[in-house]
Amino acid sequence: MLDLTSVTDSARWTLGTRLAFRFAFCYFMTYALCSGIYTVWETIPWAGGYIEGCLAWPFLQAAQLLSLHVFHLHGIGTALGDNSNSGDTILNWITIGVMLALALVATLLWSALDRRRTSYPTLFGWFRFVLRLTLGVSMLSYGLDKVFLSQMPPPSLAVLNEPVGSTSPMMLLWTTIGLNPGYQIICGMAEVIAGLLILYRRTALLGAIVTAFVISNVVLYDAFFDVPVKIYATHLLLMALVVVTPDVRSLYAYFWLHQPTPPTDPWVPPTTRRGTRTAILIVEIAVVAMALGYGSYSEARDRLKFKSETRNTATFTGQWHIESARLAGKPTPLRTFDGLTITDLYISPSGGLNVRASNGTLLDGDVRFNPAVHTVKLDMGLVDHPILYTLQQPDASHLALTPIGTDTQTASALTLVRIPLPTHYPLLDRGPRLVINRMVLR
Amino acid sequence: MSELTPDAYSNQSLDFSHDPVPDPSFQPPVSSDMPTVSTPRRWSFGTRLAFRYAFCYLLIYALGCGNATLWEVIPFHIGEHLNDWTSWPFFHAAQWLGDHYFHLTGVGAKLHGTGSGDTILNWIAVGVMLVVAILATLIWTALAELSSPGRRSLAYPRLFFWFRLTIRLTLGVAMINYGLAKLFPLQMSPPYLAVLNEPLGNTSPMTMLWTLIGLNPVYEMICGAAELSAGILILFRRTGLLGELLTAFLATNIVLYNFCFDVPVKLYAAHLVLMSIALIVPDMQSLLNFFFLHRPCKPIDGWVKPARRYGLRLETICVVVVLLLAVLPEAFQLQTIYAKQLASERNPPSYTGRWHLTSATKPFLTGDGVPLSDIFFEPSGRVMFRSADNVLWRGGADRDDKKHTIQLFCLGHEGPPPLYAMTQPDPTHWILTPTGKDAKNDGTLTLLRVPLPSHYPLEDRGFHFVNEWGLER
Repeated sequence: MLDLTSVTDSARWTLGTRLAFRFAFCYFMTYALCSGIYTVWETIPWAGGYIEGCLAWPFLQAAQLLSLHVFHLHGIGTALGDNSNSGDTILNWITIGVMLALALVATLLWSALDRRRTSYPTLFGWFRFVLRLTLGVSMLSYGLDKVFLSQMPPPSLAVLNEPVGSTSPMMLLWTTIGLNPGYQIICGMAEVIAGLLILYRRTALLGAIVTAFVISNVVLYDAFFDVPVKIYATHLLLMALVVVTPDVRSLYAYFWLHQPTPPTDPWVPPTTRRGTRTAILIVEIAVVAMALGYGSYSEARDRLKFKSETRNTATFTGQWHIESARLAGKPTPLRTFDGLTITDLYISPSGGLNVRASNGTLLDGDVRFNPAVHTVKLDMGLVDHPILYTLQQPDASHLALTPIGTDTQTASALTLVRIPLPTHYPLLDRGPRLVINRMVLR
Repeated sequence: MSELTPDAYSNQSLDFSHDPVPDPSFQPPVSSDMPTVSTPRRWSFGTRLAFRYAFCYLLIYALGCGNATLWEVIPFHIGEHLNDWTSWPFFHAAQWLGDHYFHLTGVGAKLHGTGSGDTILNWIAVGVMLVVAILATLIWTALAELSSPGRRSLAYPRLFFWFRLTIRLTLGVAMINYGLAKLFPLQMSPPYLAVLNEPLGNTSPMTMLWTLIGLNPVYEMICGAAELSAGILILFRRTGLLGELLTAFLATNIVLYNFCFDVPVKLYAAHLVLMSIALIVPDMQSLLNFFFLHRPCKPIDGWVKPARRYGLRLETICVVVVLLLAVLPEAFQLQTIYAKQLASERNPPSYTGRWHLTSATKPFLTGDGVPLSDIFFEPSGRVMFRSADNVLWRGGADRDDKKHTIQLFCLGHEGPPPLYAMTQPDPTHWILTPTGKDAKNDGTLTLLRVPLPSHYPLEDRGFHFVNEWGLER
């Protein structure tokens, strides 16, 4: 059985501990370094994205091969790409299967070949070190996303005008959290603090516990509101628990037995060489500086860029129904990847674009107006790039869009008609009030 | 390191109690079934002052706030009376101040049951408690510090013990109460028909939050289980610190929800956080030692040896009795209500749905004096009233199919709940004629059924392991 007392001693580990350690090491190191989502590689300037992509590549390719030739899947599910906004596609699940199988095989081989070693104190140090950096980086990334209000945008016009019963659970969750910037910022701060605590050796245990708490709620949200980040969130929780596990005994002694026991220590690879120790310290500081400093800088930069690019949208804010879509004189409706017809465009005051498909679902898009040269660039998820249109406004309630550039042959010319919307929404009007004499629901 | 036994540490006589000056007379007992914690004999002036103030204010609030207090566990309505008596002075003082000093008018000027814990009178009552606590602290300090200089080396180990016990019991009862209301998912009910058919922009933040949590009974039950476990952990001395930390964590999120989504339980939730922080403060040093300095230490637990051992036995009895009284009757009651709701949801009565008020001989006025426009009979058996200004009022209905009568309960409707005789000229119309002794208060209502969708995409979604797209509607 697992004997946690001995994990950190260089003395003999039990067979169960050794096996558990080997498997956890193989699986979580693979996931932490090769998952391709918010990995520690992203903190490396310039080359980080490339390294991350290279390490994730073999697993995604293997998953795609398996999906085509073993599972005989077809359609959108088998396409590799970054445009689905979902972290739980069938390929993601197969990737996890590949990693699990690989970790099992590696554990068996390792156990067969390495029968004499009875403990891995150095590897244990490396293991905890890598998981700690991974958790820290992802908590900081998600936290900063919320602190700068880019994860949950304010409710879009499309959603505000939709009956509550027609929305989806995830949209309801996103809208509720996006409704109040203060709440989102505080949630983000909690994640940032958890990330910083875990990155600082002394408070790493506390950070891992806070991370496990915060991420538990994220996992519950993802499971019950069908947010497609289930795999990643579950892995964050598992990694946090793996990091805490060796300390379960000391936590038990402190909180339940009330016996004086210090937490288990090594949070970095144990080494006596000065050079290695300095290098490890430099890596830790660099990760914090990049994840927090550069992370905040790029969030702020993206926000300002988005603001300046969408400052021209104000006059076009509202719901635009597609009155006609014609290609070379023939009616040719706009179709999404799934083959649904697009019926409406919603341009929110914040500059976001939502596209309504014929079955009622909403898709995220992007819109950039350039009134100086009368053009608009629309990304409605039709093709893999935004389409450039010339913009004419025959009257206040109509827009005529004609594709120019490379898409003239393939994209339809559009006539849009404005659908009048309410000027204000009770949901957004109600500021926080300390005194409430009567509970008013709407 | 981990091989060392507790005895090895106690020989080093490491003392991490909150006493800044270790007590030289303290000898760790060699073997004892009781926690080996020093009893600080001297508290600094600041500690004494802080303790006296926390003692006065938090005890006054815990016992006199009137919402989910410790009193409520006492059965046979005795608890309710005690609750009323202890909160009476503060609320009546608040009412008097509201009338004579703040010159309040309107709905806020009167004590009224509203479902809001943040009425102007609640705020004034908390102000009164603050002032009373400050006065009590000043008098206590003056008497204790000035009257007899020889007693300056003061500490209040016994008061400290009883103070912590009361606050722990209060928090335990509160968390158990709120936890059970979610474990039997009743606090947030499934999305109301009244809300499902409303454009999202017309709802209110609190409705959004309630709909979100009520959407998924399992999510609500997990949240409830977390609150319930915090409430049970905090009751016992051994798990007290763990329960205090968990309570502080959960209650902080509740405070954030209440402040950010305008839920009118701001005062009460904030006090739950304050109380749990007050319980954790004495253990701050040991937490710092464990989590930051990584020194072997143990929680002081706030446990101070009471002068006599019967204190400990009394504590155990209190905890067990409170636990049983807080959990069992409440769980039984909630289980009955929930079973009723489930039965109603499985087999919704024929009149479930939206009924529009087409005419009334006398307007049916809701809380703010705005006439009623729609009644929604929910599948869960609850009833929502929508007034002409689009505001929703919670309520219920009591239908008697033998006598063909229905009694409507609408929050904020003046007077006794009206009783109506029902006639149904055709399947889409209802005529409600007031009957009984209060018949003259209300008018005859004619209701028309408004057809609603048979299902809603929001509720159809379910769980998906594989998502090729994130679904947003």
